[in-house]
Amino acid sequence: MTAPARAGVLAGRTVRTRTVSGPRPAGLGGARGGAVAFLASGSFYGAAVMWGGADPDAVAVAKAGAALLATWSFFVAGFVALARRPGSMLGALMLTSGAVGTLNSLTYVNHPVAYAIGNLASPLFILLWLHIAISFPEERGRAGPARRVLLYAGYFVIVPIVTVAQVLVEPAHYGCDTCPPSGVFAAGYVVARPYQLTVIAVFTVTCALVLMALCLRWYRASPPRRHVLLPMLPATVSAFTLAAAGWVGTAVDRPEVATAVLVADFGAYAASALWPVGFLVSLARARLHRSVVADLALSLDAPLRPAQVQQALADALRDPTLRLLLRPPDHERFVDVTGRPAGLPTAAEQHAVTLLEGGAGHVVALVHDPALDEDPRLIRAAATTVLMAIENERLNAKVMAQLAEVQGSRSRIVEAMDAGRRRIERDLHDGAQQRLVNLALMLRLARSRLEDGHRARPVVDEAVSEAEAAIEELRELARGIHPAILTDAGLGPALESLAERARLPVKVLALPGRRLPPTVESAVYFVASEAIANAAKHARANEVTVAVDEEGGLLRLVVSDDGIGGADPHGPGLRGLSDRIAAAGGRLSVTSSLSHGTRITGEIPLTWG
Amino acid sequence: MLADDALLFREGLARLMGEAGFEVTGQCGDAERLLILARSHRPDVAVVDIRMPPTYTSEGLDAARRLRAEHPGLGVLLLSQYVETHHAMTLVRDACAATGGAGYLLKDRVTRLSELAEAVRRVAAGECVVDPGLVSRLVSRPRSSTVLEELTGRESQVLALMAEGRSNSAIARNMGLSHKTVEAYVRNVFDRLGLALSEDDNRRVLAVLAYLRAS
Repeated sequence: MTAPARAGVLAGRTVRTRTVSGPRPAGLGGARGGAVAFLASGSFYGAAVMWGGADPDAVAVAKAGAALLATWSFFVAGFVALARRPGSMLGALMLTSGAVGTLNSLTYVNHPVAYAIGNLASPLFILLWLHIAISFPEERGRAGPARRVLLYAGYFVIVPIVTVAQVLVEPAHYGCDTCPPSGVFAAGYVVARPYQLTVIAVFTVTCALVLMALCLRWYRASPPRRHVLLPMLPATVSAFTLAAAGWVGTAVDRPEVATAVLVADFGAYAASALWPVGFLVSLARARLHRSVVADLALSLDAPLRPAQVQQALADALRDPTLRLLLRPPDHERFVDVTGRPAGLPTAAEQHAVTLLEGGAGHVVALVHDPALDEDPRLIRAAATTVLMAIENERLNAKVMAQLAEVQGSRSRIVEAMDAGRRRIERDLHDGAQQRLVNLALMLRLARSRLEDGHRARPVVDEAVSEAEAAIEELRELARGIHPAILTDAGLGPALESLAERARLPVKVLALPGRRLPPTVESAVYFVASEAIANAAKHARANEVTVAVDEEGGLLRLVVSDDGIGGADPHGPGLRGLSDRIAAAGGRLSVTSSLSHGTRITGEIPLTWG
Repeated sequence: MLADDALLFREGLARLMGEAGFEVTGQCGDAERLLILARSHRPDVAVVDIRMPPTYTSEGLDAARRLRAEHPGLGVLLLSQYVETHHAMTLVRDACAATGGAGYLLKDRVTRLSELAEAVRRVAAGECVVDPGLVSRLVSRPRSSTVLEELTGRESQVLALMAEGRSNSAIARNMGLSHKTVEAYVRNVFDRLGLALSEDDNRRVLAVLAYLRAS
């Protein structure tokens, strides 16, 4: 059965949920029907008691009161369950139990017809109770074959047989001397004792089976499930044990055990009156609080793999069978958390599915226990949390990808700039510089052909000096653009050369012993070069030290001076250096003070080993 | 023997060398050709541009090493548009030998024919030649240590001449001093700088260059 699709807007996105689940029992039509049944049966019972008059025996009156208390306790529990979970099967069963229990209490009305009706209801009441006890807290759909066999046998075999026995057997024949005679059918012709024993045996065995089933469930239950089952357990166990003990005592039918039977009977009534209370407490525990969504959101705060998200969801919703399926945008099929294609369950699989669609086309499907449908808003909130986590992850990945793209393009721009500088330097070297050298050489040749004292000789000499000056200037210009030694011999020799040419003393303390990637060499060289120039220009330093060392895959450049400090890390100069280092994937830090001078540290990871 | 990928410069240089009284036995534009020519022409000195095809970085240095290995008596003079201490020291270490010298000059020096001719002759005579511009840059660079400032003028001069690769007798000739006096200066300078005196000229050049570079 497919419920109509619900549509809503959640966090600005269209959310669709669809629920696929197995057939639902009809129930009693919710709390309203339950209330009507309660009032009707209460009035009916009151009227019956007034009409027939209660049995004057004090014990019987007390039993009647206890039975009534127990049945009303079932009613109350049924109401609460139905109010909390509209359409709840367990709530419906509770209410039905209350109603049937009320009918059962008619055995205390001192009238043959009332007694017969009460007797008729008794086996059904016990079966309903048993049904609830072994089903709780699952609403439906999860009963195993053993449980199902037990229930079918109860409803279709035990109830009819026992009902017939109750009706046909005169109460006096199975030990109830104070019971009124069954006035409905002619009585007294059935062999009572064996029948009574059979019925008692059947009930006792059933009780034993129920207790075994409960023990087995407890043994198999996960800790959260035990947490839910616990409050129901004492009342269930004591009620069924005491009831069975009472029946056994009745079957023995000896004066010595009469008191024990009475105690067991009252104990059973008390336990049955308390049992719905345990049921309600268990129900409250089974209910998933909204706070689980908050806990879930917290647990999804850190980036998680889908399998971890699924686990977090399963824990939060206390459904170990929960599966998280994802359908990425532009995909037709769902995949499970391991990335394998997975289909949504069919109705026959008796799993519920909650579907949520994110803004970017992601679809999340939660395949879960139909019991969780008790609170569709909760599961939708949980699914939305997951979806938000996935969206968040996706946006995060997108931002990271964009960042990587920006970093990549920044590196490429800087690389292109470096390549451009190298090319200009080479063009100057092979072009203008070479031509000027040729020119100087030709002038020198020309001069040598002029005899001593020729008028042109001083002019040519001057031209040679001019050419030499031009060569010198051009050489310094080209060096500033890109020093050839950096390409030829690497960072170490280039920094030594830089130190030799500096306008203030530069001590080179450490240098890398090997060639490094060109981007790293260029970045470190230019940062060192700028830092030395700044120290000479602004810091009034007496000495600058330069150290480049490699440690743990990290190349570190430290340029420090003994100047007056005052370097502004956010000024355009140092910003430029910082950008230069960042383009190579590293970072720059600056400390600058009057007492300790300026210290510029650049660190670049050498990821290529 | 000349090797330079710039034809015009090579031709001009050949003419200039001719005028200076040298015989140019061969010219080429790259290191491979240079090695082949050297085998057939057996020159006394090869004048080689440091930056040649194919990578245009420091092929000249490799060529110098290989020439030295093949022809122990051949002198190699490297010309470069930049003079770098690193290259100078590499050359002195790898290619300077008593049998055949090696030199490293700024390319512009070719306009001072006398300096060029002297360098070629010194290389042919098995000396190391380090560009005087490079040496003077090293000597005069700013430094925090005052050891160099404490040297006398003569001592500084001796130091620079040693760095240029000159032998004691060359220094004596250059400064117009007696061989003994020069030896005394040299010992003095080494004491002052805290360097161990070396009989080997090449190692002396290296020690001085390293000192000048580091301090």
